[in-house]
Amino acid sequence: MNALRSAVVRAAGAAASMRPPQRTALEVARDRRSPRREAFARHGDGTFVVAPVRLHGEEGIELGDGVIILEESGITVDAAAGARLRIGDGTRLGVGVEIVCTIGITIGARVSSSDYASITDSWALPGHTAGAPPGAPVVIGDGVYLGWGSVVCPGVHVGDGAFVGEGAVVVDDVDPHTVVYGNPARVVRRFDPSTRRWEGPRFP
Amino acid sequence: MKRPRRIPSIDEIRRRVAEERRLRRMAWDTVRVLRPPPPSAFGAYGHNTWLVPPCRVSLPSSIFLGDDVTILERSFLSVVAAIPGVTPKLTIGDRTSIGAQSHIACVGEVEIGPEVLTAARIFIGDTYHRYEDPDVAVLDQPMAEPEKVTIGRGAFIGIGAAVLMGVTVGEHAYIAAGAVVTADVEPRTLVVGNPARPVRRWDPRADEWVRIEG
Repeated sequence: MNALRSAVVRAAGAAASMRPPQRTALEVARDRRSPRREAFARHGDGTFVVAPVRLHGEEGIELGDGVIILEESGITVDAAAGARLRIGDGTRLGVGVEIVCTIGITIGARVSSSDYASITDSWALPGHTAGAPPGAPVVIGDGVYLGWGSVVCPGVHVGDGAFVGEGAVVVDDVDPHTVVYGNPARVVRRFDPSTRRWEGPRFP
Repeated sequence: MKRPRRIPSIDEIRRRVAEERRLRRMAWDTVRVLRPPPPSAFGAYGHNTWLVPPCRVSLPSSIFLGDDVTILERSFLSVVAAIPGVTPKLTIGDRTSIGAQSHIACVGEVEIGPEVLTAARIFIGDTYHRYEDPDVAVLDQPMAEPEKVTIGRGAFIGIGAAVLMGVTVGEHAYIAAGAVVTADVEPRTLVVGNPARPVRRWDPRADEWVRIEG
């Protein structure tokens, strides 16, 4: 019995030694610090990426001037496959924004996003795309607002000045100056340029 | 085979030390910014109330916390005097517990009753960014007039749910995970979905939660 027990203990020890080494808090913090501006494909003036941040593929990220990305964000760009993430001037992304870019994501100027919004152009993470439907590039126009916890799905074009409501899951294109809410996102309000009036209720 | 150790140059050592110091300073700055203000800075701060750091609190003088309140880490109590002439007020009742990474955006009045339980990553907001001017980015437009949000006594809010402006959630209501509540919720009602719709209601005569038709 004792022999069996010691064998189990030895096996457990061997399994423990095969585990990746435990990282210290300082090493994790170092991983999550804001990278130097030279690491980016473009890094405009007055642009901040606030740490802690999970960034992969900085060489595929083009940041305009005055971009602010708050902490806890995760940005993954498959730069080796030629993916490009372009963020326009004066855009602000909130806390905990997740961006997964395997083909191309273009975010316009003066876009604002609330916390925990997600934008993705692929249905799977880079390196795990086998069996997943193909992704498509995402375009987000100028002056768009992404509500708290909203999700922009692959292939979507969000028009200029659109308002994506809290928790909306955008699967279809959004026209300019349109308010969408819900999962899947539905149009609840639309701006008529001829009469210059908004049509529809405020909430679904 | 053991590689001979390369001795770094004095410049490299200096650079590494400076980098390490910069990192430690940054970590400390983050901790300092995300440390909650002292209880005396709040409008009210009850006994045995916990605001777990790191968290973000703006304008604590407009925040009124009851007794035995717990707000878990990485929450954001965003109380902002954004509308001229409107003093914001965020009230959280006794024995209420709010999950991690929650975001409460208060420009007018948000009242969370006693004994409310919320899961993590919830959003409660009493206003929205104006978007009505099509020629200006939404980011550059002001906040809208706030409408009061009330969460009734003993309500539950599931993970990732959002309660939007002007909504009154009744007593002991149950908001399911991921629901986006855009309309009032009656007491003792279960709402699910985005936008949220009522699914079940407590029937005191049958002594059970009955399905709502339609």
